[in-house]
Amino acid sequence: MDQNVKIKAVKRSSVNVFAIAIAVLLAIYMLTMCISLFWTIMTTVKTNAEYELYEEAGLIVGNKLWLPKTGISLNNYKMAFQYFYVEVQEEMYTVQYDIFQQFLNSFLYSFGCATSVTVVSLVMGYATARFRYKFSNYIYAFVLVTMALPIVGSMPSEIAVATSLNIFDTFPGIWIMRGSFLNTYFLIFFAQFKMIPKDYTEAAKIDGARPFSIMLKIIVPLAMGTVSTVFVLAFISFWNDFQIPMVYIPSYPVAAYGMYKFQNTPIVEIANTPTRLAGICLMALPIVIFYAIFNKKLNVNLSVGGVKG
Amino acid sequence: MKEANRKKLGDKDELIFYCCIIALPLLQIAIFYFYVNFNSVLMAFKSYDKMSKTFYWDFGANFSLFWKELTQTSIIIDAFKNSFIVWLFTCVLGTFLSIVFSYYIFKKWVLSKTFKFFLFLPSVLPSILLVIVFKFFVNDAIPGYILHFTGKTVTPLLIGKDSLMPTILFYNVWVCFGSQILIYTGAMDQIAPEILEAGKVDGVSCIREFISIVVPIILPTVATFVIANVATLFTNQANLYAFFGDNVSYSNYTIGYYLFELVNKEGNGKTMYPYASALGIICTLIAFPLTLLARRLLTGKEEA
Repeated sequence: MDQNVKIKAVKRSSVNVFAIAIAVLLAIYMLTMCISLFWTIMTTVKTNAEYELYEEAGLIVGNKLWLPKTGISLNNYKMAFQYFYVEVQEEMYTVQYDIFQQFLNSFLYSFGCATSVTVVSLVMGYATARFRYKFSNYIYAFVLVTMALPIVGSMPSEIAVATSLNIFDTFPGIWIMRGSFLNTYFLIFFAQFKMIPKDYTEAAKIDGARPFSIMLKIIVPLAMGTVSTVFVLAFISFWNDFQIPMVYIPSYPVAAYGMYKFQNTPIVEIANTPTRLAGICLMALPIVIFYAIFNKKLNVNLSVGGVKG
Repeated sequence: MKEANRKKLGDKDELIFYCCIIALPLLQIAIFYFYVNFNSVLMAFKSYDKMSKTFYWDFGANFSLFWKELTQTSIIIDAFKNSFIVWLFTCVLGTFLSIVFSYYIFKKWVLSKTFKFFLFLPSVLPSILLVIVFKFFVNDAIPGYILHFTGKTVTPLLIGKDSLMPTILFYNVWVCFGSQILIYTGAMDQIAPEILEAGKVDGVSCIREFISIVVPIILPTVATFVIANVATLFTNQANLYAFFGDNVSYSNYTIGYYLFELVNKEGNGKTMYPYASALGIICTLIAFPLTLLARRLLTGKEEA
């Protein structure tokens, strides 16, 4: 009896040590994230005069580290809002895109690309998982191979091809180029559709349903959780991307690109840390709101590659 | 007979439907994967004429330029070395930590939901925002706090020669958990509860459960991710562009960043497209066997 209690105590302590060790790591991670974000917000409400360090009567004066001492100022946000524009050089003239136009470009880019990649991955995932043609196996194997076979440096060629097809620097062009199924989303849909029993399809067939109705009215609704999760993930990743739009749609600056330009701005009025940080906080608002609304969609279980057993 | 006819018609219907739904995605792949990559190979054997604004055949020029850079400068060697180090940190360390953190969340231990939120946060916030926050924090705040608490003056971490690369590596691991956590916790949730219950009855500790039950079961998922990650060895820019734009010193280049710079740097125009393609082909040839090796190691000989 005593021995049993001892064994249990030893097990419990090993459980605790393991859990505590991970918890400590996670807590450190969370702290680094919280402190840096808190410091950022705190800095945005300081005046530059308070933030910058300078020497006064032999003493270093200024407040980079602590809470604002001269009160909270929202002036940085006002300035950032006013100067948050991107200039695009057209052939003959320069076009200025303000904050709203950048948000609109971001929305068009993200919504279009997320829709095309979700639809294409869903359709191909459905086709390969639900139809037992040999070609389906080839497609699945091909996706795995392309994901494992790293083709590096195809960007110049892609730009050249897009230019020759007259779709370079256009929204429909980038939607088409991003609408590929050679990605993890395809594998997620494949796994999802594979899990849905064949009986659903068989029952619908007996009732006279056509393949299109079976897909749209029976199987896809069963996978709606995954569909919306994939869409939200894709939307967020496209919204946050600034390099692809910078290269492929240079005439339509997106908000993330605006942030990149804003941090390097030469405009004197806003070339200081508090205003720069205020600018990027302002631009992050829409995606934070989007995440707050749709974060439950990300609690759906996703699986790629399956599990053993 | 009627039944057989109906089945035949149904099969034909299915085949037509199947062909219709896969046609457009396959066309997209035909153009933007096969043709683009084929064209990339051709481009590697061409040069760009600025005057006529056309590409012309110039066999070997780009590969000899590569050889020259490899033997006469340290750009390529440094870029390969940095790419490998970045990959090692983000893929090996990042994946290991992601699995451990996912296990914590899967077990629903204290504050697991809060931790999940913070681990996923970098995937939600724009990378450029995190880069800027991180940049100002490590350059302005950290030296300030060190000075305040210890009285020591520290060079800002992204400016110091010795601290720059470790700081970049830290950042890349710091932000890499989001989607991996989502996938690994998803895989762990699929483990049959009976298996875990059986382990508990046998008195298996949590560490043993993690090492001997959970990790082996989710290994196919991990393998898929790691294999896909090997492919990013030479495309990972380590966020260098977001941190420094065009102003990265050659010794800190990664291959991914170098390729992006060749294409994107102002003033380069299309002149460097062919060289970028040639460098891409060389990197592909190096990364392919590495990927196969990773696949063999992770999925076993029979599946490789």
